[in-house]
Amino acid sequence: MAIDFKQKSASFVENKDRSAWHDTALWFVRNKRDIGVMGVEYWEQLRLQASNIKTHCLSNLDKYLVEFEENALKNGAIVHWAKDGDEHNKIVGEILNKHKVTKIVKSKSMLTEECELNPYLEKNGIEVIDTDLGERIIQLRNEPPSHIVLPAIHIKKEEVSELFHEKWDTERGNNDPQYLTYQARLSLRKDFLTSDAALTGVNFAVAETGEIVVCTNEGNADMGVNITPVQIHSMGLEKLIPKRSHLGVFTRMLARSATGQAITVYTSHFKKPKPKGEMHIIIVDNGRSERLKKEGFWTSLKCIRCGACMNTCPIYRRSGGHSYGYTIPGPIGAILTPNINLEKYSDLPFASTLCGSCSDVCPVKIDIHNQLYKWRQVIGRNNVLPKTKTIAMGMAGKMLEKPGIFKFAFKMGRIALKILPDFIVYNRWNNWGKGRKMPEIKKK
Amino acid sequence: MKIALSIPCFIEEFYPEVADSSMELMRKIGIEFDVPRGQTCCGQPLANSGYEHKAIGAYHHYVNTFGDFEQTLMISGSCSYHIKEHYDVIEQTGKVKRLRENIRDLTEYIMSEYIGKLPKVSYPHKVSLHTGCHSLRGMRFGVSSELGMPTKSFLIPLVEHIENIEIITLDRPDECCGFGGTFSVYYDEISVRMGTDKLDDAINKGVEVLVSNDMSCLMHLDGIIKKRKLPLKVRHILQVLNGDKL
Amino acid sequence: MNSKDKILENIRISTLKRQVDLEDILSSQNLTVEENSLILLDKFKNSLAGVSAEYRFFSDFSEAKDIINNFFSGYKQCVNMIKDIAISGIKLDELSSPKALHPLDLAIIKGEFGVAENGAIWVDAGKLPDRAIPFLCENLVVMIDSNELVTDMHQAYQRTDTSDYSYGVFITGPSKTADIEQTLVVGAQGPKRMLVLCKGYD
Repeated sequence: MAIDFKQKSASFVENKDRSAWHDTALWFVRNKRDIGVMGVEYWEQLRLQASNIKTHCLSNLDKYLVEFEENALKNGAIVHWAKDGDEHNKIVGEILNKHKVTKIVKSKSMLTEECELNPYLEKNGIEVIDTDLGERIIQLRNEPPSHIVLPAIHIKKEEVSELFHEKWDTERGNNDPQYLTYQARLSLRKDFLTSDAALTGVNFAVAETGEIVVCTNEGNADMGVNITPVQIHSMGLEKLIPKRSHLGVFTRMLARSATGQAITVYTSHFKKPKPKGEMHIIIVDNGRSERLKKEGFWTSLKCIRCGACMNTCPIYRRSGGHSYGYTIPGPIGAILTPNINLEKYSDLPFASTLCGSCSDVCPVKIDIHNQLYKWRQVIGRNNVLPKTKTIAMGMAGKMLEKPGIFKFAFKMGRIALKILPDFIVYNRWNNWGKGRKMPEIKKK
Repeated sequence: MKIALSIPCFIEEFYPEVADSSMELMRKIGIEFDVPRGQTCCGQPLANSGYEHKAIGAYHHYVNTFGDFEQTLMISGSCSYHIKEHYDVIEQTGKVKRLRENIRDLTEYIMSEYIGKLPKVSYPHKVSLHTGCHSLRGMRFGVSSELGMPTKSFLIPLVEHIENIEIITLDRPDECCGFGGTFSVYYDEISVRMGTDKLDDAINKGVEVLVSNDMSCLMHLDGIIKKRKLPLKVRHILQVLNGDKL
Repeated sequence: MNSKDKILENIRISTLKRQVDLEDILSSQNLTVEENSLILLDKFKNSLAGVSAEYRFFSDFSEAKDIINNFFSGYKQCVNMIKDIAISGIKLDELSSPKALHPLDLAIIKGEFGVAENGAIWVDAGKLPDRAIPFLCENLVVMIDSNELVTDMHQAYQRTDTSDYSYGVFITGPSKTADIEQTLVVGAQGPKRMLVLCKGYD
C-alpha cells in the first residue's frame, strides 16, 4: 500500500492546537541550532570540509571498509558483514544465543529500526529494552519513532505521565518532566542490571584506527556496553570516515546541528573490548551499495542523522513524523525511501515546497531539495505518480508548448471562473479554493 | 543591449497591474526592453510535479521566444531560477546557454544595476518583506537564516531610500510561505496552514502590507487573506518602487 | 560468495567510476581559532556552566578533599581513583561484575584534558578498573589540570592521537535528556551531578 502523505498530514494538521504545538517545539530546536551554529567561526567552511570528507570516503568506500575491518580485528573486535536487514538480525540473534542472552539493552539506533530487529529478537524469545528515554516511551506505546533524534517529539507530557502510570504505577497526573524522567531512570536502571548484552548504533567508524564512535546525552550507550559482557555495534556502511582527525570536524557539527549543543554529553570511542568481554561490529549494507550507484542521488549517503532537516522543514513540523510512514521521516526520509520502494513512497518527494531550507541546514551539504526534484522526475517517468497528481497535469504539457492553446485554456478557465458560482469553485474546482480565494482574472 | 521582459503566465492573467507597474518603472529608470509575443509558461509547474519530460516542449518554446535576446528579465525569482537551474535537461545550444546565463529576476536586476536611479517615493505603511525561497536559497539573493552568518534580504537596500516606510521583521522571516507551485493544490491543508502561520505572524506585528519579489507566493497568501478577510494586503515590490498607492 | 565480498564488489561498481581524491583539500585548511591560555580557561568555564557541570579550583589535595566532601556530603558507596585525594573508596578487585557497583553514590576519576569550545573532558576510561564507573555513579568528580586545555575538537583529536586508549570518552557535564516535551532534565541514565575539579588557580 502506498503511503498517503496527503491524507495523513491533513489529519495531523486538522488538530490545530496539536500541530501548532509540534511546530513550535521543533522550531525551538531549530532556533537552538542557529544559536549553536552562530557561535562557531567558519561554520560554512566546516560544512564544506565535512561534505568533502564524505565525498572522498564514499568514493573510496571499498578501500576504507577493508582498512576499517583490518584495524578493528587488530583491536580484538569481531567484525560481521550483513548484506541486508535479515542477515543483520540473524547475526545479532546468533551472538545472543551463543551467550545465552535472554535480555538485551539497546541505545538509539535507526539502523536497527530499519532492520526491524526488535520484533525479530522478541519472536526469538529475547527481551529487548530501548534505553534512550524517547525510544523507551515509544517502545512502551508500541509505535515507531516520529523523529530520528527526538523519537517522542510528538508525544505530550500528559500522555507520558499516563503511560508511565499504566506501565510502572507512577503517580497519576504528575506531568513534571523531571519526575517522569527519574521514574524512567529507576525502571531502566533495573533493566541495565538484569541484561546480559548491549547493542548500540554507530555515529562514526574510523578506518584508520578501527574504532567506532557513539554519541549520546543520556549515557545509556556507555552504561549498557560497560555493564554487560557482550557489546554489539550495528553500523550502516556509510558511517565510515577515513581518519581520526576527521572526527574533529564531525563532532563539532553533529550536536550543534541536532539540538544546538556544542557536543553531546558523551562522545564515546570504543576501540578494544573490555577485559573478558566480547565486542562485535556488524557492518550493514541493506541497499546502501545500490544507492551508491545512483548518479544524482548517492550523496544522500553522506547523512550523519542529525535531524536538522526535520526541525527546519515547514512541512515536517506541521505534518508530524508518522505522516511519512517510514523510520526516517522528513526531507532526508523523502529522498531515502524511494530507493527502498518507489511506488510505496512515491508521495513523499512531493511533500515539499522545494524551499531549500533542508539543504542549507544540512551539515554535510546534501542537496536534499534538488534530490526531491529529481525523485519527482523518476516517479513521473516510471508512471507511479499518485492519481491525484496525474489528473491536473494530463493536458498541461501540450498546452504550454502552444501559446494559442495556452491562451484558450486560460480563457476557458476565465469563463469557468466567471460563470460558476462560488460554491462550485470552492468545492469542485480544485483544492486551492478550500482554504483560499481563487485569484480573479482581470480584463486587460 | 537587447533586453526582453518575461511576464510569468499567472501575472499576465491574475495580476496584470504588476506587469504594468513593472514596465512603467523600467521606462522611468531608463531600461529599454521588448515584450516578445507568444510568451507562455516556463514549464516549472509541470517539472515540479514530476513531468519534466512533458515540459520539454515548453522549454523549447521559451528558448525560442527569448533565446535571441542578450538579456531576459523576468518578473519572478522562482521562474528565472527554474530556467537557470533546470533547463539543463535540453540540448545546450548557444541560445539555451545564453538564456540560462543571462536570465535574471527583474527586481534583482534593478537592485544591482539601477538602484541609484529609482524614483523618489513615499510609502507610509508598515511593510514586511518576503523574499521568495527560490530567490533566497536558489539564486542566493541575500543570506538565508540557516547559514552560519548574519541573515540578509536583498530587498532591504531597495526599500532603504523609500520615505515613510516602516519595515517590520517577522519571527520567522525566511520560512517558506507554503505555496510551492502544485504543492499548494496537492497538499492544500499543509500549504494553507503555512500561509496562515505567516499571516498570523504578520498581523501580530501590526504589518499592513506583505511585499515580495515573487508574486506567486503573494498569490497564495492573498488567497488566504481574502478567504479569511484578514486586514492585510499584498504587493509586488516593483509596484512599491514605482510609487503605486496602496 | 560471502556477504563481505558481495558488498565490496557492489561498492566497487561505483568507486571505480568515481575516483575523487580529496586528501589535499582535507588537510589544507586549519579551522582552529587560536586563543591564549587565559581566554581558553574563561571559555572552558563558560562551557562547563553551559552544560550544567559545576567546577571548583584547588591548589592542594587536602583542599580537593574538602571541596568534594562539601559538595557531596553523606555519600556512602564511593570509588576514588585519585590516590592523592584521601577519600577511601570501595575495593574494586573484590567485585564480581560491574553490576555489583550499583548503587554507587560517588566516583572520583581523572580527566586528561579539557576542550574550551564545549567543556568536554577526555577520560581514558579504558584504564579504569571498571569501565562502568563514570556512568553508574550518581555523582561524578573529574579532576583535571587547568593548564591542560585545548581550543576545540580539532586540537582535541590531535592530542588524543598519540595515546593508545582502548576506550576513551569525552564527557561533557552530567547526563541529560530533553525527550519529554523538550524540557531539559539533568540526570538521565548517568550521573545527576558532575563536579570538575581544576588543579590550579582561577
